[in-house]
Amino acid sequence: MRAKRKKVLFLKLSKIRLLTKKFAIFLLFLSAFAFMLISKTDTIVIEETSSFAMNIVSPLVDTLAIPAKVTVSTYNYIVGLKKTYGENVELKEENKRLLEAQNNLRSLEIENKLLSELLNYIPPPDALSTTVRIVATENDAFSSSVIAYTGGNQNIKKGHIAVNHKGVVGRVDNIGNMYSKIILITDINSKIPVIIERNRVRGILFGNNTNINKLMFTPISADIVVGDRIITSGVAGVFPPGLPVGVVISVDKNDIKVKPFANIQGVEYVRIIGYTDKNTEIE
Amino acid sequence: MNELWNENIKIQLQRLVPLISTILFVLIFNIPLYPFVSSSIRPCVSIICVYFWLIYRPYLVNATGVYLIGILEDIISSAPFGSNIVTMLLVYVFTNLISKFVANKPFLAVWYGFAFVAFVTLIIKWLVISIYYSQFLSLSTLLFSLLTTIAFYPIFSIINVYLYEYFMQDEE
Repeated sequence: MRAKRKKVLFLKLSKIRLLTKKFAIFLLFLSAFAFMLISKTDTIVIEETSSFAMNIVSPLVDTLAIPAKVTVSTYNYIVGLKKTYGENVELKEENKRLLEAQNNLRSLEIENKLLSELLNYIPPPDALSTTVRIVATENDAFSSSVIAYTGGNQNIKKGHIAVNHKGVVGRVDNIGNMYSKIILITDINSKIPVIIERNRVRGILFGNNTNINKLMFTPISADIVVGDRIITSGVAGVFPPGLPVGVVISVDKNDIKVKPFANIQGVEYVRIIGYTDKNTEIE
Repeated sequence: MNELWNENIKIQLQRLVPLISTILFVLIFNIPLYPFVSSSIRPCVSIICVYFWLIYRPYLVNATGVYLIGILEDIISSAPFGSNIVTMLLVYVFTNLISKFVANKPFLAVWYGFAFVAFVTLIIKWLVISIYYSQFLSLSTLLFSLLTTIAFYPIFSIINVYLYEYFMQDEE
């Protein structure tokens, strides 16, 4: 009797196994779509799982990158040597100009401070900045992001802005223990409140997974021309105001294209900037 | 007994070569290589490798392995989580569908087969992600990615053949 029961159970189990094998692909597809649905609803589950997994995967990329880094730095050194003399002459000239500008800036700063005091102006909160190294890049038709080594820096929070010497690069999207994912401004998920430097017209800069961004939500009658510089507006207190973002390269009806200043392709190091004011941090 | 044990481990490790090599290629192709290689002209190396091994050694690639490669890509990428898993499973399904037409055929036929699989897969991925974001992604970038992937297929075929000869020649 017992043996018979065991045989029936075994037969049932093997049937289940066969069915699972038959529908394995279907189940795997189903789970993948389930992942997409969960991530669409912005639940913390995917985010936390992803940052946990990122902390395992990123050190692997970082280690594999060592030979590539050596090759790149050797190449840069050789190319750099060639350019050094010419650059030195140019830099001396630039230094003179910068010293003059610095003097002007000092007087303007004092003037600005005095006028601000006169108007009772409340300045935006101070910004904290941390420089981090990029260890992995992903830039194709479907996504545009990088992974940076943040070394467990507690000052870096989700939503903080990433810049390099040329301008805004992206914003921090996913924080891990040692590594963080930065969504580049060209990514489809990127939306930055900006203003046009010349006439202070506000808008939102959208990424679309190409090298060119789109400026939207500007007033219909706004005076926007090719060559206008776009900077962060500081609206909502998320990003510090006045950071260079890009330049307008074409203006059509409802279609304003902006080329980012920062070389998104070749980004190696970025500075992560966030407000120190706890009320303005994005969680 | 010990020799038999070692032999078994060796066989199991050899069977993992396709999966491990594909994972390594995916990781390597995410290393910032500027100014040598721009990050936008990188091929979808996972599609190339999975197709190659499914055509030449189908018994070494299973749906779970392909699923794992998809997860790895999802972790690195900022695309919707799950979209790369769907892509890899599509490659698995389409390659299995066309394998009887291209297996044991000249290289050019295999390459055409790959172009077909890559085209269909990337178009479906483009559609799925466009629906996800409720807006169409750039078709020109997709086309560029597709052409790069197809162009890189012969190079990765040579590398994979070399891997096979080096690690798995006595596997059969």
